[in-house]
Amino acid sequence: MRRKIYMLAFMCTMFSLQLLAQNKAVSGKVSDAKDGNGISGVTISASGRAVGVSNQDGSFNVQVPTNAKSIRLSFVGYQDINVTITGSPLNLKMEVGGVDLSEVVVTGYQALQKRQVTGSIATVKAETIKNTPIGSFDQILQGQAAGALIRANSGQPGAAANVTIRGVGSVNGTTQPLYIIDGVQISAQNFSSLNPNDFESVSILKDASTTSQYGSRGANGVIVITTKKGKSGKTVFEYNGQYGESKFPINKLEIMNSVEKIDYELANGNPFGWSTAQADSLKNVNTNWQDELTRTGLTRNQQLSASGGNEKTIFYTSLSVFDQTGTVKRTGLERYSARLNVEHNVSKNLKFGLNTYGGWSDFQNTTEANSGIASPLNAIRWGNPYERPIDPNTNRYQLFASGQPNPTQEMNETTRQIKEMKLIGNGYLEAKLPFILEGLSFRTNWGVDYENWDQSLLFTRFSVAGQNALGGNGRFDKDTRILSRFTGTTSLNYTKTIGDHEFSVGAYNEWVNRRLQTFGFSGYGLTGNLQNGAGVTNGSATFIPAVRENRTENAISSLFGIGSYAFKNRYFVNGSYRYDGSSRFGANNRYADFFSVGAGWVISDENFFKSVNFIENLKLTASYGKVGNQEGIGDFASRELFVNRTYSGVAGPGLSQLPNQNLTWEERAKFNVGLNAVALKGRVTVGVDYYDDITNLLFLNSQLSRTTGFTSLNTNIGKVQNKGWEFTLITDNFKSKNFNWTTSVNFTINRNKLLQLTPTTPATGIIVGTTVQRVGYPLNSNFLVKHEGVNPTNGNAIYKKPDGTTTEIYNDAADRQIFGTRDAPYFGGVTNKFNYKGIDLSVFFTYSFGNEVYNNDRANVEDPSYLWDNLTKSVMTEWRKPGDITNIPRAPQLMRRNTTRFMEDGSFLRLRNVQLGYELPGSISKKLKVSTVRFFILGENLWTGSKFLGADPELATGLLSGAQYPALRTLTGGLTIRF
Amino acid sequence: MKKLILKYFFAGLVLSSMSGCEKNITINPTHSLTLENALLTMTNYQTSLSTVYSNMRSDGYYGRNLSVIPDMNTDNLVQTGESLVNFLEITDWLYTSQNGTVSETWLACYSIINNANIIINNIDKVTNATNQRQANRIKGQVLAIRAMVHFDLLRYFGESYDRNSAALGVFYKKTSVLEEAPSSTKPARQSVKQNYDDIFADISAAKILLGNVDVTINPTTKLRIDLVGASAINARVALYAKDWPAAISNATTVINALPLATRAVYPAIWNDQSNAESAFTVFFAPGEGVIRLAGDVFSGPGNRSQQEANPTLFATFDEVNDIRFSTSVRRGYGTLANPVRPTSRLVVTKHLGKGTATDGVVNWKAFRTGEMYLIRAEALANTSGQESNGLADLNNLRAARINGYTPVVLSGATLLSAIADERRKELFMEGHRWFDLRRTTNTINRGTISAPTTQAVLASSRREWVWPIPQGERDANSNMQQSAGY
Repeated sequence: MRRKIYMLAFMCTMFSLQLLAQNKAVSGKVSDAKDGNGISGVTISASGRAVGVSNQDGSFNVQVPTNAKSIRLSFVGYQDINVTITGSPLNLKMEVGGVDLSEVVVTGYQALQKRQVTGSIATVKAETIKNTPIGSFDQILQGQAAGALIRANSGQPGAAANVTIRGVGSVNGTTQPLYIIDGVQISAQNFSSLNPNDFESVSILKDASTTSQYGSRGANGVIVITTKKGKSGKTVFEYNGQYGESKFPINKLEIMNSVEKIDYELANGNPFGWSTAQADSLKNVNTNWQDELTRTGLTRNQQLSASGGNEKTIFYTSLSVFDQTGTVKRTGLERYSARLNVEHNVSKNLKFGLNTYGGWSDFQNTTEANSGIASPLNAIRWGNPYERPIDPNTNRYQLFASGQPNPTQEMNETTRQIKEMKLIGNGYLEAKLPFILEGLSFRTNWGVDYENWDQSLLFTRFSVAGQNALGGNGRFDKDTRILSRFTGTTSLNYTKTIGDHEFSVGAYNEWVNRRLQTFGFSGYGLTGNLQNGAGVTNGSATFIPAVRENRTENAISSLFGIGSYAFKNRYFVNGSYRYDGSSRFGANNRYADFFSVGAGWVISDENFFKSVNFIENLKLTASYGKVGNQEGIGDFASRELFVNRTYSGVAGPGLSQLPNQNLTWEERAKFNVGLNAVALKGRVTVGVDYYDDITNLLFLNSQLSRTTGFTSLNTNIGKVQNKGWEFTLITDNFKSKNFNWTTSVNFTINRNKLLQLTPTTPATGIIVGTTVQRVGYPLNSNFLVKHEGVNPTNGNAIYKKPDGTTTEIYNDAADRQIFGTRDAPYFGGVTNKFNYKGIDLSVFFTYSFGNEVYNNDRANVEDPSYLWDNLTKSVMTEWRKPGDITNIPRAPQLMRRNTTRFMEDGSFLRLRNVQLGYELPGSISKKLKVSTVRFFILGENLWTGSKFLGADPELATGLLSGAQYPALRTLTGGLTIRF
Repeated sequence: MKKLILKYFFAGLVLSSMSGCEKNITINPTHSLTLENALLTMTNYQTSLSTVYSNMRSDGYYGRNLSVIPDMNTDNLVQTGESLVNFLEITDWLYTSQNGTVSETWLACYSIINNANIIINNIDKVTNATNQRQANRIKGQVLAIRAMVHFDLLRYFGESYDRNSAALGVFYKKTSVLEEAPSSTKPARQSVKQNYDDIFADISAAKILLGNVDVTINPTTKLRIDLVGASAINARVALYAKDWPAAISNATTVINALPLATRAVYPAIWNDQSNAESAFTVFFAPGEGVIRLAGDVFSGPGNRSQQEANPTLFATFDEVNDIRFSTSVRRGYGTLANPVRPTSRLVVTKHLGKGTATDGVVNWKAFRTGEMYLIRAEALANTSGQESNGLADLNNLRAARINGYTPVVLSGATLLSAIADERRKELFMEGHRWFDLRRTTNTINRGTISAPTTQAVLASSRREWVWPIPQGERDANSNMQQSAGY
């Protein structure tokens, strides 16, 4: 009975919305220990709860409970400080660094203290991203965060990476995460026009409690980018300059030289019919096609930024130039960018801001990751070494005896260029509404991601592709693509603290609209001297140009709520609910709801834990929820569509897509448990997460009877599971006044398993080339016939059947088996940082292992039926006479590709980044009238350990089709000046 | 007061920003049509014929599998070292139900049929007394096409060509995806007899409609099927069905309408400078997709001669006087300086290009008078008392092709054999050899072979004479029974 009365009293207290506690005022100023500038936005807490933040100049004046003895100050990027309340104004200094539960993490809609987070978020800081000489920022994230598998498929300047967070959760839909920059959704992929140096932090949201806020778009995880803001006080200028060189790595798969190739041809029937004199003369020509097409790449990177402001207004602005030439000739990225972020405080209750970014890039590239004969990167492997780039007799491109295109010709006579303009901007208004209700605030944020993409493709009439074009006299393509995506988010938030209870609820409304328009044409007949768009022949029946246009649009409209409750700043519960409507889906399934619940418990704050001295912080979290995926299908995927078909000049409607009114989102149910600890006086930080995600209602092609005229219908059916462990360990190995050494390690284990396919899929699964999607196995499992060597008596390849017996008869319908997966189940990164006085060294390794990859590039140069072109040295060891012991079968036998002969271990360890820096002592920089001067040398991909027979073991899909553009090995030197 | 204004201002802002949901997500396509606006008028149906005809250019139909594959997989062509052996499974009869060419053919045929059925089953909705004859013109064409394409399916996948056979034919599809639920469509194979019944019924219906149209279908070109074209289809089907009177009468209709070309005009047929002899020609042009007819046999732009003409066959030609030799092949030909080919190499140049072009983009002569002469000759030779007329057709055809030809006198089996040999020469690279062999001797013998060819003989007992039902069809629809042996 008595307890009930207390309870009632407690509830009254809660709802009376009155603070009963007596308060006292604490004031002071907080500034950066190094430069002395005031720090704004520092969270000030007392008795375990936040009581306010510092102003623009770092000053603060907060009310704390009368019984409070001390206050705690925390701010992202700074070490927390605990200060005793003296009664007089406090003059406080904060030092950069530190990992703590009070660090602020950004989820896009909210900024939370790490303490309050009940899910799994990995944060990558500005200093990690800075200066990395890579055009596309997603590649920079590799190995930085547990759970995020980032594979740079290419070393081509500006090329995007393949990013999967917590495993591949879709078959036909996208597996790319959602990207948000300052609250605005931006396109995955096109990062080459973004300047990563503007980023303050990158948060990778992985579990339900964080991603479900994004509802129907969050299934593949969310990458939230926050750009830099100014700080009030003295304007700080920073200049960064960088210059370096890159080299094309050595390909482990060696191809024949002229003597070897001619001898091989002579031993295999002399297909070109060389006379002895011809053969001898050709042996003296030794063209190294790789040297002909590659060079030393250059990287030049410069940036100037300024940040500052006063109590009312803060700003950050930057200008940058990034210019990188590739190691393959005629490839490179040039980027110019500018940013201005401004925030103005109208009053203490009202502020607005504007973030604007403009980037322009010029991306010249070559085709890669294919097995086409027109790709110069294939031609450098396939071109015979006894052919020359230029025929010395005619002074023109040499025509190859084999009919294969001349790589130099294809490279010089082909231009592929993309010029992209990217504008990202968002404006926001934030108001506290104490005159309506204390603790109530309003925020609206509207932004746009605009991309104008201008692609030119030129095959001059001297290129083989140009000779294959309509009319046989070259081709000029121009395609523009204008993408605009608007994101508008409006919210009302209410927070209330009553004693030990903290409540926060937010109601949100969001609208995202994506419009894409494309226009292009192909012109032909570059018959004159002009080999560009101006050389196109118009009005000729031989050279009819082709024109194309498309426009498409999609939108989602959402209502959602996020709520959290904290008790004693020790127990946390939060939840979210989101109701999304999408234009893409069928009338029957246009709306869906998503939710999450999460809980956190700071164990170390419990009394019973006080006796554990070596652990300062220990927190247990758990979350569960449901999120969706809608990308990867067309904007009108649920509709019946007719397109224009032309016959003999008459165009009419033709059915191109069957309707599916039931089409809806893929749903991913996510479960996460995490334990985080800080021990040994902050010297050891450990994080462990376990997750179990099941994607349901997969987009899969349900097979149709072909008598319908269609093969399949996109249907929501099927399940895939990703579960695993993520480990993070950060240790201060050595700490002293002059020397510091820290290590951070992350390691992820991901287990992927397909649980269900459509009823129309045979038990074998869905066979895609050399892989299969089969129930009970990971997605992208290798599906091959086991190669068991070569029979020494007759030179035939031997295969092993599933029953263990061997055979010389190749039967891919019956004998293919599953051999491991293409996607690495184990991966991570290790960083070691050393500081000695002004010298700093950081060494960063990434690794991944446990996957088997397929080397089709090797199959292309080990196939004896391509005797007319160059082959690997290993083919010289082929079986020729009874008794030969070799792994290469006799030459006339048809080489079978779907065998384990071309499967290789995909594991690698890579020294991704090494940076050595030196900062001038303060006394010298003061004389130079600058605050900081730092020199650095940076090496990218300097060493790679792997067994893979190719130039680079890092393959986005575990398949090397051919034409590999390996990761750049870059060495740069640079300078940072702050003043 | 100020507070109150602020209060209402914010309340209004919040409400307005949280407005309408449904309206924002109702988006209709602008660059493709939907059922609401695609087929509303007679003109829509007329133009949608373009879909049916343009689908014939796909690789699975006249783009490759029903045009050049029937020569590649027999003794008419020989694979060379320039081949990337992309079609070895088909050309060397190593296919299973997984084969890509087989499934591509099956799908392409039913795709044409589905688009034809959309018109056939829905055009009545827009037909009235005033546009009846226009509707006839449209529906007549698609009915003939539906018959023709089912017949082509039967030729590859049917277990027999006999008119009244109870063996497994294909499924004769008369509904489109607009009238049925695609996911519950699970038809079974019908008998060969049933297929022939449906084919003949459609052709008859087509002929009636095409006989009563508003405007001439092919005033100058032969790019669409008119009454003569429908008769040509009828003649070919009747030949397979051994319905000799129908073969004779329909072939005669075509021959009377379209006489044989002279030797002077004949070469111009092949580079589209003349439409002589053409009963139905499928339009291929660079402006409508660069589809290189026979690009897998000889590709002009890349100068690749993947398949050469069988020298044994061409040794039987009168190289100097037979106009068909020089229009079919050229000795040691090449479009670039390399690779160099010996004169013994017979490079196939029958479909080299329009005019002087060598890009391989050229119209497909689906039905022409030369074939009609051979159909009639064979039908007459098999009709008692008509053998001499059959011989006359053979002699007339040869006289039109061979300079200074002296008529011969043949009869019985010798005559039939001579007609078969003439078919091989006249219809070289026109998509007939595989079906003619299956229809007659049921054996392929390539004689001596060399790499990359691996198989010389296809005996009559082999299952490969009937193409398998593609695995994809069987996965989705187990009612579609697999052919014997697969």
